[in-house]
Amino acid sequence: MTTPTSRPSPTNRRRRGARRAAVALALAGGLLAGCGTSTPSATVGQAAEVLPAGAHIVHPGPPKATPGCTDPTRSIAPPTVMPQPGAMPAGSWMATIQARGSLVVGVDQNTYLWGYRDPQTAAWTGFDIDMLRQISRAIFGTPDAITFRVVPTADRQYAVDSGEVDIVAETMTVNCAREHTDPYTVDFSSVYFEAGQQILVPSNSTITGQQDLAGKRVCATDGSTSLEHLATLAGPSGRPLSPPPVLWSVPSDTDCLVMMQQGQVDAISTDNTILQGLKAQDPNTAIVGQPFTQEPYGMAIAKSHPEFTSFVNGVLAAELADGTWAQLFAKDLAPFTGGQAPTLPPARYRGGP
Amino acid sequence: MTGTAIAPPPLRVGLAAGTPPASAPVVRTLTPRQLQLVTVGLVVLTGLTAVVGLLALTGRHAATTVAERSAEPLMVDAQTIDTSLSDADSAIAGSFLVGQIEPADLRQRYDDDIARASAALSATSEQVGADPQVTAALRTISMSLPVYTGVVQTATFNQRLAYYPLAAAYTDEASSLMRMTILPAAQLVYATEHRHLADDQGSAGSLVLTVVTVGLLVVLLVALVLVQRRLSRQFRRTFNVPLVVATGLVALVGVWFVAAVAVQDTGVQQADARGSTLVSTFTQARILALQMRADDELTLLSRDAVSTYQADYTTAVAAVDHLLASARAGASPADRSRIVAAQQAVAGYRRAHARIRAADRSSNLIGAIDLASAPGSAGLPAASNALDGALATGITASQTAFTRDMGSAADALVPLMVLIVPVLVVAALLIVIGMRRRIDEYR
Repeated sequence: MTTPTSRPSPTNRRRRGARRAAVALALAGGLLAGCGTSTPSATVGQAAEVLPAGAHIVHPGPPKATPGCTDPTRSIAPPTVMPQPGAMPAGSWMATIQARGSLVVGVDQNTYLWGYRDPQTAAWTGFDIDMLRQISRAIFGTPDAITFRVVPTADRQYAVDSGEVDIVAETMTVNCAREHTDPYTVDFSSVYFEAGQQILVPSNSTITGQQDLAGKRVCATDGSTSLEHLATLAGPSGRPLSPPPVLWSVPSDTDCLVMMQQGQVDAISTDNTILQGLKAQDPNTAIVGQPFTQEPYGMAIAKSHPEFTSFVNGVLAAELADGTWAQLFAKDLAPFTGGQAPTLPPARYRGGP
Repeated sequence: MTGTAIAPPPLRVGLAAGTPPASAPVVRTLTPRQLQLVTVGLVVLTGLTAVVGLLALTGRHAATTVAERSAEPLMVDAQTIDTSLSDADSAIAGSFLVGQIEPADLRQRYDDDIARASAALSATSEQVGADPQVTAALRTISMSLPVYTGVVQTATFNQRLAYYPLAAAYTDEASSLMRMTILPAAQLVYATEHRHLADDQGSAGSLVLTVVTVGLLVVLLVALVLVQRRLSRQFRRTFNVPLVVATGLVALVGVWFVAAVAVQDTGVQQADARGSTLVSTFTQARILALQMRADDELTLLSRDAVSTYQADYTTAVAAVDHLLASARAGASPADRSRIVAAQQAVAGYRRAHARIRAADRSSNLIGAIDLASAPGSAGLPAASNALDGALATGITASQTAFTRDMGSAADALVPLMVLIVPVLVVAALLIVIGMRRRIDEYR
């Protein structure tokens, strides 16, 4: 998913829950108190409008910079010799995992193509899931020694830092705040995918890129950096779009597609990885324009287990070298991206060139 | 009655005139004309008492029957809107849970719910008065319901196409419209109707005519006693049998009137406490119980890791517990057994809920969905149906108790309503006969 502005604090989904709870309370106390919940005024002859719960217009500020952090994508160098599956070095976190018998991972189950669990078969599919299976294979010799935990976007760093999970792979953008300044900080693996923010529009839209978003209604997810980037969009002249886009914030990505199908927003703008998943559910949409941000994805690992981060980077390096990464890309993502696997820039490590 | 040329001496009847000065050894005699005036006065007072008493009784009777016959069905309609729509919300979530192809029975349940709610909506619209809040709420429901069914239909299409996240997002939107807009409006209609019913019950105890009747009966009784005392002194007779019987009849009517009104009032209060308050408790609990089921289904359907629906569930189940526990405190044994049955059903639901949550937490999604959708005693449908059944039984029983209590309250007035005029007419005749005997003694 995109980069929520970092706090593992209540999200809008929770606020929506609070509102629902308030309704239940009002229901419980309504008769005795003789008061009803406020009734929206309805004008005769005008259709009642329906919005996804929690949808609202926002005015986000620009993204914040973290002083002293220049390249958060530099991770810990892999070991010179990778241990064989089933023979993890004593005292390492991998040995703990091996003794436990399964790798405990934090994932999302609602993001098409990345972390998705088919409600009919319960099968886990997606590129993030396959990245984790490779780590299971490297530790146990089998890709299936995994315990899946569904971790909400806002709780990813907490889940890693508190030891609830060994590792999180959830379309998570590597950035300085998550590595250094957030309440719960994590280490990232080296980059395993590079996404970028793009725009999804109805196929018949006149919008062809970010320059056309002036004054348009654009949707993104609550607390995401997608919203911050939209607030600072510039036109061809380099000046901010005028009038600025009207930004709608919703609890989940799919709510954006609901709003676009209902004609309530003109475009959705977030990571192209997410947009591909939405496009897969509505053939009458198109991704337009060039990516206007860089969203390098990394897997999050506790800062207390640097040897595990190093090990994961070794797995990733091997995958990229032997073509497994490209095969998995083709399997999971190619049907929706035209089959061309992007090339990742070579991994760079801390203290290295 | 008739005018008279001779100015009569002051008529010494009534409260002030009742006690002649103790110093006067000889009682002043009343002329025949004065006796005639006293007679007329007593007869007029008796007639007035009969008329006012009858008005008081019919007024109370009518108010009680109105509450029983018209307000109560209206409240039932208002409640049907609420429960049907809550059930629709749960039915549609349950149907998506099962799979790509909607199970026919769940679709039927949803369709029936919508049809029932629409019928109750139009019935309510015809019956409600001009309360602007209710009118606005009914308009909100009427305008939002087609939008709701439209969104549900969109969710259905996406489910068919196996666009599960999108289908879940539309279901979420529909459910939110239901819970944020439609159900609160339905709740407002129900609450207002419940208040109107309470008002009707209040007017069943309308005081003015009742107090005036009691006052007239007391005045009539005192006047009769005083007249008889005066006559017995003047004519040296201890008893005037017709007047004594008339006094007895008036006293009988007085005691009867007070007793009948007291019985009716108690009946109405009992109807309110036993019936109408419990109906409302069970109804609210039933709506919340349906939402609990929808919460559990939507949790699995939306697979929302932050689980707003579970927060909602926690609030709802606590509210149900509170409602039932408070109602249990002052309940009669029969009501208490129904409340206890409902509480046991809540406990059963809790166990089913816990099994589903445990399965879901341990990543056994298929197991959780099975528990939430499959028939069988361990599953959610069985537990939810048992709870709904227990609460529905409570509603029906409380409605029956309400109707019965209101009916017997109204019935308490009927004999006196029929008899008050004849009895007082007889009393008036006896007054005339008794007075005639004394007047005749002058001839």
